[in-house]
Amino acid sequence: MIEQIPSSIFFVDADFDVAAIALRLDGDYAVSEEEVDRGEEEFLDTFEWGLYWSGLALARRGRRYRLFSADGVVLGEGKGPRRKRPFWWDFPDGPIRDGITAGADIRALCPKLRMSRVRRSFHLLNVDEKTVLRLWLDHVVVGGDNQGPVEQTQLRLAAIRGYEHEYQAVRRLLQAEGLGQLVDGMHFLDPVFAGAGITVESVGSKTVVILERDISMGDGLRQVGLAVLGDIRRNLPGTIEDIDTEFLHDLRISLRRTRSLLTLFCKVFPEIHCNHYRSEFRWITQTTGKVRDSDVYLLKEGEYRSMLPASLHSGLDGFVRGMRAYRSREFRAMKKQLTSPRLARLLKDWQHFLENLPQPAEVAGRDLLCRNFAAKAVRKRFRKILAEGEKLGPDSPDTMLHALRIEAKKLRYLLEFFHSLFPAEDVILLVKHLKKLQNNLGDYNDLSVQQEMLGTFRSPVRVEDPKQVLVIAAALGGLVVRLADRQRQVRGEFDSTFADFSGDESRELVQRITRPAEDDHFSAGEGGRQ
Amino acid sequence: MKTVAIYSSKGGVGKTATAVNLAYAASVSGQRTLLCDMDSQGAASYYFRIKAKKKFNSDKLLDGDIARNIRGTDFSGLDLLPAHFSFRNLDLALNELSKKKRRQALAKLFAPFAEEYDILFLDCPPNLTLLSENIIEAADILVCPVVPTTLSLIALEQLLKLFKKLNADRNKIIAFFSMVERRKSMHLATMDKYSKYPLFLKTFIPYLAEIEKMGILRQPVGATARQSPAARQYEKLWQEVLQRGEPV
Repeated sequence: MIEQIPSSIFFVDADFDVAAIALRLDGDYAVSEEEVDRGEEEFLDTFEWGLYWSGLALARRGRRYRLFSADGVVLGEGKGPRRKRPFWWDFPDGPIRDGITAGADIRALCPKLRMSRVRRSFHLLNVDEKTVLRLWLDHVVVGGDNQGPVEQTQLRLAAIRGYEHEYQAVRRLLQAEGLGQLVDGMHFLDPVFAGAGITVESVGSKTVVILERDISMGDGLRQVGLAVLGDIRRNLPGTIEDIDTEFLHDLRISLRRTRSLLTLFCKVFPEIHCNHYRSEFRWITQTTGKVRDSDVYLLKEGEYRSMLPASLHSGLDGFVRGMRAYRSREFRAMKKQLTSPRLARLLKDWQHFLENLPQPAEVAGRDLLCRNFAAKAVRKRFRKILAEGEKLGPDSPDTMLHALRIEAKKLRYLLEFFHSLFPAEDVILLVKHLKKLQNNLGDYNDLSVQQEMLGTFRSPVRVEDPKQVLVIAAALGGLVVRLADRQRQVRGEFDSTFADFSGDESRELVQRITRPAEDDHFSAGEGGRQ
Repeated sequence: MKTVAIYSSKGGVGKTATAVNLAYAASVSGQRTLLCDMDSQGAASYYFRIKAKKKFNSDKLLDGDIARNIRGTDFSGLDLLPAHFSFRNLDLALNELSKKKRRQALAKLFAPFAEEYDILFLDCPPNLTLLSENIIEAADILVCPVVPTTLSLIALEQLLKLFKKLNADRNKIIAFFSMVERRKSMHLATMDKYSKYPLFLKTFIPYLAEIEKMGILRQPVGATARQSPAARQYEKLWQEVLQRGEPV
């Protein structure tokens, strides 16, 4: 078992006298100031605060990086990448790279907070001049939230193994003075964020909408639609700036979710013409397709490399070079559309549309509870999946699997949009079962698309050397064979995956989820036309 | 965790200076390091200004009561298990254990720390006893400082004999020349004669005043002046030990 070394943080005044601590302790102690470190520092994190939620903080000054735990302990420091928004793989091997890999995943680490910091380090020495406690006085100044700069001073104590007595004595002393303390579970940057007006958003690429239980159908759809629109707007700047591949990925999810919602709108409000929005959202989704596809291939480079013998790796390198060039070209085209007045107008109009959806009173007979409407939609979609899945045999064409994949996706969206209206545990369990089916269908589809693309890819990079052309062709051929093997395997797993999903447990879950509450004044059967 | 024992049956060859400075070099390079002061004289503990807790002694050590007696040094990533005067009787205490247990006792004692530390250094007392056998059993690498003089070489020879007797892996032994005085022709001649043997590392530690001063300053040479010749030499020695023994 690893011995945990205690540490704590107190909030103190800027002119706090550390040396005075020694005088107030029983025994012969002295405080020595070891060093003063001052400079501008910035804290980096992913768009979704992946490091913060992993209990970490990554600071940078020039090319010197320092990784902290949530309680302010330095876990590693050293030279790191020069780029403005580095990825974990840009760091050299060591504790920083090891520490941030899981939290950062494939996301770029972006500057989140800039502060000027003066850090004074002290040692508490015993009669042998042995260090028995380490102390740091951190004075930080950050740009405030419309109220000018915010200043804060923290005193951090870190015990030294075997000298916990001194740590506790100093801690008691500071507590007796009534100093505020960072409580367990708090991140040491929390007070600084609060002062600077920075809100750390909860993790996840999709905004979670909590609907009131008795919300009307119109209001429910509006709230979900506005939340998904918020996701589109949130991910658009990062996509245009090409910060990391997840912005585009999440943008595309939000666009697909919007299109799925539009289908619901059309059914609920047949008198409203949704066709314009349907075609415009289809246009923008298609615009982003080629760049996302090339991202997927580039992200799979390592996986592809492991599938090929070393003799074909240079061929894969040629393919990757070509794919990068293809992506650059397609990215320029996509960026043009994402920054176009057409998209700006679409989002503005869509927001206006959502905010001005007809009130229930204006649309006769539609004063339905959102819950009943959603329940009926879930039931219908589930039945459709069962029916389509049961039709599938070993020789069914890929188009049928594709259709089933789309249906499964629609059910997933429904469950995500309206999860707050259903029993939480049941929804979580059903989504878990659904995910397994989606993974199988998704893998099958991905493998199919990959084989087709690898077989037909025409690199924009001209390769003069005919030998190199052959090596690239051999590498791609090798990959297609491996992917086809894998696809057969995935197809073979479909029957049992579908059988698991379509079993009694899922059926009972859907029944429970969609069962109307006793106090509802509409039975599910009385829902609006769909 | 790799265990590196600094061992010679001869006294005054620079074992403790080697243990203290190599442990410091290891911790500076980011390895979580524990130095165990096995010598009842407690020189390594003295260098780090650490005293053992009053209730600590050789019986507690052999009972495995180690974790709560480890103390942090002034340097991050470097802890020390201090020596106690009673360690002079470690041999007697080991002898009391059953025949089956007595040779592996030390190795077993430190096994629970495998997760917590990357490197365990053992600063060993100068003798050829049951404790030495324990050290040979526990160590992945046995670093033997050799002053380029006849007596010191005899000590190395004795160590090789002991390895043979115990049927231990001789590749564990890494020797290096310690306290080298280049103005002494005997030192130069001895080094010339023996340094061709693969047992010896290329790096040697010269006799330097700053190493002597560790007794006054009570800290590793690298902590006093990171770029001093002695600090650089120990750093180099550690790198060569790492390379040779591939301990991590």
